[in-house]
Amino acid sequence: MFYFGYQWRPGGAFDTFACSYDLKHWTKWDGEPLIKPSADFDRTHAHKPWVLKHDGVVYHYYCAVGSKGRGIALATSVP
Amino acid sequence: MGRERRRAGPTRWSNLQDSHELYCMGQLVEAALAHKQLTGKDDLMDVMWRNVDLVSRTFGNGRSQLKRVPGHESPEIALPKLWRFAREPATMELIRNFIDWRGRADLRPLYGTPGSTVFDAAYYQDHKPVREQREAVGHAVRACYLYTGMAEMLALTGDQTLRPALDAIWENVVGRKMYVTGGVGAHHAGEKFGADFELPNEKGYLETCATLANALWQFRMFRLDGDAKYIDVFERILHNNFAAGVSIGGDAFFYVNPLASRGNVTRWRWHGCPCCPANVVRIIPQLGTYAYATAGDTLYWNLFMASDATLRLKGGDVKVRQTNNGYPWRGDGLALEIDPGAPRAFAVKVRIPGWARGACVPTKLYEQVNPASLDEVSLAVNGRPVALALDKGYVTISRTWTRGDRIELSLKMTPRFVRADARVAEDVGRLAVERGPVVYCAEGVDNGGHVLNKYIPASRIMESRHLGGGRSKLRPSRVECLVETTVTICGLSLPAIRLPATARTRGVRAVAEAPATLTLVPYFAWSHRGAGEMQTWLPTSADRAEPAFIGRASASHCWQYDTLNALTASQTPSDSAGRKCRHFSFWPNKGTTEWVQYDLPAPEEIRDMTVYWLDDEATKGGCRLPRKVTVKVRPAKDAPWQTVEGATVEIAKDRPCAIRLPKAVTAQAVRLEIVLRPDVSAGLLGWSLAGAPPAAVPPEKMREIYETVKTPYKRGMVLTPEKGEMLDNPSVFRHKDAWYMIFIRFDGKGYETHLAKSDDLVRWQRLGCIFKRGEKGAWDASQADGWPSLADTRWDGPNTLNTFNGRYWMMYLGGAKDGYETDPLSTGVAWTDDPSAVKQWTRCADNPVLQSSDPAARAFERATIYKHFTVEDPSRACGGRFVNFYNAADKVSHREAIGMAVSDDMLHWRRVGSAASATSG
Ligand SMILES: [Zn+2]
Repeated sequence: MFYFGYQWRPGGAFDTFACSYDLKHWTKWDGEPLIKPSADFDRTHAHKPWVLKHDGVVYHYYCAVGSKGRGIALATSVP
Repeated sequence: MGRERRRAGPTRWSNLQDSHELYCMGQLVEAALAHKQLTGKDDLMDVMWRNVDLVSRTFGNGRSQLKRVPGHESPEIALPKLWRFAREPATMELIRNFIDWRGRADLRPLYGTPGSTVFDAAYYQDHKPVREQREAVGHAVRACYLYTGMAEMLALTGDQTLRPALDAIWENVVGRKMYVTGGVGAHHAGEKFGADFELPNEKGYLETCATLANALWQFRMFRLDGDAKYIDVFERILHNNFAAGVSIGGDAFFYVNPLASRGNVTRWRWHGCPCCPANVVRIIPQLGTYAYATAGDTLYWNLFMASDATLRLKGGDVKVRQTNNGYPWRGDGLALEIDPGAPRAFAVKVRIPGWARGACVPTKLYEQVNPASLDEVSLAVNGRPVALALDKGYVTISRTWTRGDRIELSLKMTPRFVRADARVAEDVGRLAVERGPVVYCAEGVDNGGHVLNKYIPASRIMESRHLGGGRSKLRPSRVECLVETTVTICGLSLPAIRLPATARTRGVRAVAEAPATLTLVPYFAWSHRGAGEMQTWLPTSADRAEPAFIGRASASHCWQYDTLNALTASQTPSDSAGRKCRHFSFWPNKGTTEWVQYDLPAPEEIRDMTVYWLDDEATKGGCRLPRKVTVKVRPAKDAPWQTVEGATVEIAKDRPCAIRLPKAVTAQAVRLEIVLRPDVSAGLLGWSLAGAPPAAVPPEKMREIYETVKTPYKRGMVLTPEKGEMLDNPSVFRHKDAWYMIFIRFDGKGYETHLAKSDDLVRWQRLGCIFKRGEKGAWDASQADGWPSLADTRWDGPNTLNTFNGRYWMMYLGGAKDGYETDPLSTGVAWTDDPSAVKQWTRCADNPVLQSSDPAARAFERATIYKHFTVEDPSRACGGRFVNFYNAADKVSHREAIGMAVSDDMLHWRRVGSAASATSG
């Protein structure tokens, strides 16, 4: 499960994930967030993930809030 | 090779970070030098020189040259050897550059994958210039190779600016990051050094290559200042982690060397990444070269191994012959015979090992509980005693040596307890046992199958020592509780140690304790008699010993290569294929009805049980999940079997499955009757008569998933808002030949649901609104933010939307009040027959289907219900065919939490549980 967190780390909202075997008890990932505010366009928030893999590339869509307002942004596993 | 070539990138030197291009060059240098030394031939040397010349031309400070370092160190060790052989200035230039350029952001882009916490710059020791480094970090083999290279460079160039880094890193490793076996590299993820004192026993990595790299480094450090403390570590590595890395037969290898095991670790015949066996083979013929050293007119006697050698001192060659009575088992009769030719004066330094004078390691990381003392050491020349005046761990004997002079050393081999620094959390309340330089461990095979269930009761090894003033201190003084014996392994009779212990056993819940004896064998000799439990750090209290299940397991059939122990072993499989696990299976029986059974010593109450099903489709095995499972119990020993009516048995892959009985039953025997699917067999990786605690996902698994899903490269906005609008909540799916995104758009009044399209997942084009706000006065008159339901979320899957009753479904958030997410918000359902069409979805008549004002609403959702995510769960583990996760806010704090509801028809929803599934902290 991918989800976003807010106000439990410094900085704006960010995307991370948790895993479960039974859909009831979840283990949170405690490492680096998958996406966090870092660029002008997502300075305020980088959150609400939709992640998929296609042809060997991971696409992570998210809602970015920053210099351009609130829009849909993308990050990928390859440059 | 193919894989390595792909990893090397499209052209030479194009992916030095991840490829092993320069690592291989280092290995080629070592191979060529060894080949030359053994055969005298130049053919491999010629190949090697062409490679080294190419690298020398390519890498350098010239304008057309590359300024890069090896992604995996190794030339740093090999090139100094080559320099000593040929003294080519270009070789020295390469050594300097490869060491000086590392961590220099001012000279070159540093290695490391952006956003990765595993493959960061520190993984490659590229986080800081080497002279500024003070801690051992990153990949343990890479790190120790670098430190070895730094020590070599210091030795060759006299560059003392390297010394503070080397000393600090050495203190860090030997004082905080080394196992008692001499192993290093605590983390599986990244094969890395852990934090200070982070030395997990069962989960530790300790790659054989890393311990060897550590040994090489220790010896280079010794060569810098002739201190025996480095040889103490070297010897510890040699007799423990290194010796364990290869089987006694020499034909099987450990890649990882944990200090405890549940029976899921055995040596490999071969490894996909075969670095360790080759490294062992490289070291064994060289071992003799570590036994002695010379400096000017001083001869160092470092290691105790029978040997003949000719050593070059300033005043001429000296021949030595070393004998012993069977070191490391016997410490008496260590002898060195000296033949200088003509009588001549020089010094011989005799190493008195740290372990023989009360120091387990040259730091405080591990300490002998009952320390050895110098009184137990004796040293003589030609039968005349020599005073034990120690300097840097050596006794120096300066005299005129004559042919036939004989130095005799005697060390006492006494079993001793060792304890770790209290900051090593994994070793708290535990003791290890050593004898001489050899670390011992307990194996299941010598101890009735179980060792993890045993502890050494303090009362049996400690005695209270009165310190006066009413104070007393417990200390193990009764070393006599450690009794020497022998155990035969692979035809070798090895010294073993026996000590009193307490064994803990359990039925379903009731725990019993009984006196037992623990038999310990040398750590390096473990895992030669089948897979089984192993423990090096023995607990001294009951709470650290896990009771072993004493139910007797039986089955209708067990394949000859599998074991019933797989049922009771409380293994933690990472998936149903059961890699690295013991298996139980009914193979080759297919389509039959079989059973497994536990008999308990006395009747006990049973309610929830846990089972882990074997399904090895992924490894092309013949077992699949079974078709049907029935639970039967026998209330007393000879009572007839009764079927437990209403018992539910989960049958699912890759996770522990629950068996729930409608009510608790008292049973002395329990049986699972298992109906196999036609044409396939079935099996189990575990069966516990106790309900499982909520299964946490292990950190390695979390790390692995992180590495799979991370997306470090930001591509910017793909849908940029116009003035006055906000875009949010992307959901992406594939339909026919194109990609679609459903998202929501806020226009100042409220949200509506829109659609966009893409052919390449990167460039997106808006198509228009597919779900408008409701009619004036309706409950959803100002908000209509929808999310497609039933997306096929299988990873790397088709990414399509699934249908139910021939329709595509949407759950949406509706509200009557204007504004941005104005409370109260409730949930509606809508459907369409074509999710790629720019047309309005159809509202369902039963809306809204979930409201914060519902009587069943829980505290955390009384203010409002927000976003939804709906999946189909055919196993109905949560009580319904469809499961909806949604976030909601409570009335008091407006804090958000995630809730869960289930449905069988997408229209009627039931909330699950009384509390939120996850809350914010
Ligand atoms: Zn290796």
